[in-house]
Amino acid sequence: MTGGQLLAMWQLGSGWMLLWGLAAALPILIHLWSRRRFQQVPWAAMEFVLAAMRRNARRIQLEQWLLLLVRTLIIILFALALADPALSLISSWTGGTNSGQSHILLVLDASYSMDYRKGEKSLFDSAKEMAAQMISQGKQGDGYTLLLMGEPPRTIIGEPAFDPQDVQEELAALTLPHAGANLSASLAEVEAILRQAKDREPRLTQRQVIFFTDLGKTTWGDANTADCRERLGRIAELARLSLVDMGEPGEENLAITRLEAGEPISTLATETTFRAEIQSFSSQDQPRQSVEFFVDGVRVAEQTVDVAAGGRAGATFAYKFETAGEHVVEGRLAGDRLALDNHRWLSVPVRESIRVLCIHGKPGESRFVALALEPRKDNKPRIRVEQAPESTLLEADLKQYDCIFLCNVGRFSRDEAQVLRQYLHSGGGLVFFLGDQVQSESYNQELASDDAGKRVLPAKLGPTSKATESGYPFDPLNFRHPIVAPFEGFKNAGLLTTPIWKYIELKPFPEAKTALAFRGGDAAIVEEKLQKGRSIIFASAAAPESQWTEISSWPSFIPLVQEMQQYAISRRDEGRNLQVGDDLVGSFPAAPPQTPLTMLLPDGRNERLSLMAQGDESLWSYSGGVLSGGYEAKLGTPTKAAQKFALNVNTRESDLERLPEDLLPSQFNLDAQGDDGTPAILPGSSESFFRELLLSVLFLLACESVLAWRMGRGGA
Amino acid sequence: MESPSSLDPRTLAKLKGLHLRARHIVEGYVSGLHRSPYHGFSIEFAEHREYAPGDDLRYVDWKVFGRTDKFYLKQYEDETNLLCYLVLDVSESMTYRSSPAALSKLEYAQALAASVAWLVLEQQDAAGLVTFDNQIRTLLRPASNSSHLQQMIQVMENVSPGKKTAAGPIFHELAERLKKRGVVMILSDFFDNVNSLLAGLKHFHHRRHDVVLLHVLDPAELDFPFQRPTQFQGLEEFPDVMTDPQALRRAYMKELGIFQQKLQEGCRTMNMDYELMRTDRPLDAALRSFLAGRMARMK
Repeated sequence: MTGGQLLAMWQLGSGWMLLWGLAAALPILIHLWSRRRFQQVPWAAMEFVLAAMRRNARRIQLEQWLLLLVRTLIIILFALALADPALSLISSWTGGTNSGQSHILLVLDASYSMDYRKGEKSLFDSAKEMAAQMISQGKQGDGYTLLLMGEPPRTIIGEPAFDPQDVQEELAALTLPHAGANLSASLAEVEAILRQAKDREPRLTQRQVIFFTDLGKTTWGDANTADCRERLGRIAELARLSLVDMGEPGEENLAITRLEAGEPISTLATETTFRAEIQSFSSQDQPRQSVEFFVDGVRVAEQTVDVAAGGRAGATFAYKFETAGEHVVEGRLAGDRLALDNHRWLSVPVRESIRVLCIHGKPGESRFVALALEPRKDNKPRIRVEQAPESTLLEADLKQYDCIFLCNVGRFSRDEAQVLRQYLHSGGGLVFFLGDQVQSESYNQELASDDAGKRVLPAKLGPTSKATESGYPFDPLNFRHPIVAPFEGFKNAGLLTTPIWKYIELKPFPEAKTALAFRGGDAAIVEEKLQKGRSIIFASAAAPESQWTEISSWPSFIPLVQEMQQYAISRRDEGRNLQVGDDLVGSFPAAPPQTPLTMLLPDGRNERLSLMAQGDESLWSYSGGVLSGGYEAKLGTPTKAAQKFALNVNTRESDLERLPEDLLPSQFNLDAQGDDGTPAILPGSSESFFRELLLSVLFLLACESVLAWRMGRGGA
Repeated sequence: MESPSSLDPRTLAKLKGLHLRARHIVEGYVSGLHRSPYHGFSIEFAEHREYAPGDDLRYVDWKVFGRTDKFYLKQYEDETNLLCYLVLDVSESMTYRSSPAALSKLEYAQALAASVAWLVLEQQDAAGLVTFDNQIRTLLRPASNSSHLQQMIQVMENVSPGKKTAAGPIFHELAERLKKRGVVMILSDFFDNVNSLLAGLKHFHHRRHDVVLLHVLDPAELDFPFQRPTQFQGLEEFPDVMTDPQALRRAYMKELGIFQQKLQEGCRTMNMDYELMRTDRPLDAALRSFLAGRMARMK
């Protein structure tokens, strides 16, 4: 037996208690001391003493040694019991397979369904407690690693930690992210941790992975995919896989799965309609569910909805903002056992009005578009339109506009193209109307790059069609696209009879979508998400002067222009409402580098962020958002600005359906949990046998009494 | 259990002088008795006399009654001439006294011997004294005059304990020297070879002496009460021995028991009286118990 194996046998809960074993020397010392401290007695009946000694000397000596041995053993065993030795000590001696220390990888399911509460405690809290209990029952020398099975998985302790106290502190500090869990990625992380520990800590000869999970189908539904099965097979070769099932069948849940505004951009001019969608993940109807709406934390509306079993219901309310700026709207459902998905937030940047710039290639070319966007003059119009010549592109700050219409602009210089690219990058919307001045080669060269990151147009321009008096009627393509969808069922809106006599053939890029086509098959309206904005192109002109179309006087013109504008700006604030786990990215007007930027988190904490100057902007990003709720990036003095964001849960996880145990891959053992719900002692870990030692001590004490009594009587 | 009395060895130990001790014992004994146990004990027959109420029926001559149909009592010529030899062991082992005991074995035996001598002389009988260890140290021939008691006590008080006991050969020698039959009362711990002892006693038996063994033992010798490791310092030239008395106790008691049993069996075989005398027992009670037992056996 090597020295290492010999050391490995000593797995003691409180090794220093072995020092009490030194007391085993006491009986020997007392024995020696008492032999030195004898009494002297003159004695007459010496013949009998001598005769007794002759006949019993060997027995007496044997009994004395036996008594000394028993007394010494009592103290040694008692000290050993205090040291709390582990079972592997025995199995080492008996050649069992559980010898050596273990590497125990604790994997906690961090999907937010683990926030489901049974009484006061969530499943996640219970899992933490169970894991802590397992650690406290572990044997000395065991190494622990800790992984949060989230989206993405997060390694808390990557290399085996040998101090149970440290591991328990890490466990206690864990909070549940408001996200789902990625089984495949988690298994990859498990395999990586196991392999690394195997290489670096070869003395940890036993390995075990323990999953604490509610077995939610959303997470574990992937368990039987080829990727997971292969990975589980490899993990099973490295370690024993155990699973503690924290969940229970029949768990039910309601969740707000959507919260959205009716308008892409809210203004002070009109009310904004908000709609919350409530989905039932229950097998029973849920009547009269209260849905409350809050604006900036102030309750503004409440509705009661009936939600059918497994169905959906909607609740809407309209709200007119009093001030422009950053607002957060919250929908809140009355509490159930899974509270995390009962809330949903929406960041709403409110403007005084939507600002649109209409660039015309020649004077008057954009007047009908402007009129269509702002049919009546008002002090507080919903859409404020400005018309300007094409030279404005290089002169004005385009970022102040939410949308830019370009009407029959002849050609674009390289600088103008660059300005438009930057505009798209800032999330703006572009709408191109063509016409007789348009030079297709210039458009294609400067704006229609094959590289999606550089282009401004969603299609290349082809040849101009022949003018025809019969016109080119539209094909609405079954009204599938949002731009034309409102026309469906409204024949009198005149979309299909819009008179188009001439157009430029469009050759959409593969990623672009055709919203409207000509019956001949050519595209009439093409749109594409480009960078952070959107670009739309109409194949014909907006104004009647070029004799290409009479659309400006047709009933379909105003709704079509409005819809194109709405659709073009729909990505304007797209980055404000994201899911937990997404990166928050924003920009402020260029600020001094030392300007403080703070991210205010939903739980009240805040974190400092750094700014990165880029051109005339200061960019920032934040990737630590693991909680759902409202976030606010605040730029300090001298700039002073704020942007609000909302991170919401991915409601896939709200479905609490569980993976049936018979579908669980065979590599998993479900024996890690005892009948009473507490973790059972794991095969690879230790079982304290101090009770057996104490029983042995009691037995030896009884033996000692009998021996001492026999010897007191002078033997048999 | 005997009740504490003024005759408790602890009380007697406070009395200086053997005479005083003996008188104290005898007075205590007599106050509890009305008749001497040696009354009418004699050897030579003289004549008959007619029975009168109150006479002891043991002395009725039944042969005469058979012939004459009248009650006649046997009359003895030397009715009061009882000879009592008190044989006292004065070897070193008799000097042992354990710490709880008030008297050593020798002191206890001396007190007993003096008391018996007092009683014997009191009823006009004769008492003699022999002291011995590995040889006979003193031999006072039996006499019945009152000054003889004082002489016996003086001898006992002046005795100096010897070394080794050799009781067996001494008994042989004594049996030869004590020509006249009588009561031989031996006071000793008898720590000697038991076979040699019994051989010596047999000699007394052959000489038709009435032998009484008063086996004087200290309570520690009987109970072996030692707890701590002990070095036993041998008396009578035995070597010192270091041992754990707790571990040895049972074996010691067994050895002592065998010795006592052999001694008692020998006495029984030879029709001798044996009485164990614990030195923590009140002397009058010990004396009374012994004499009462002896009277019962003689009836």
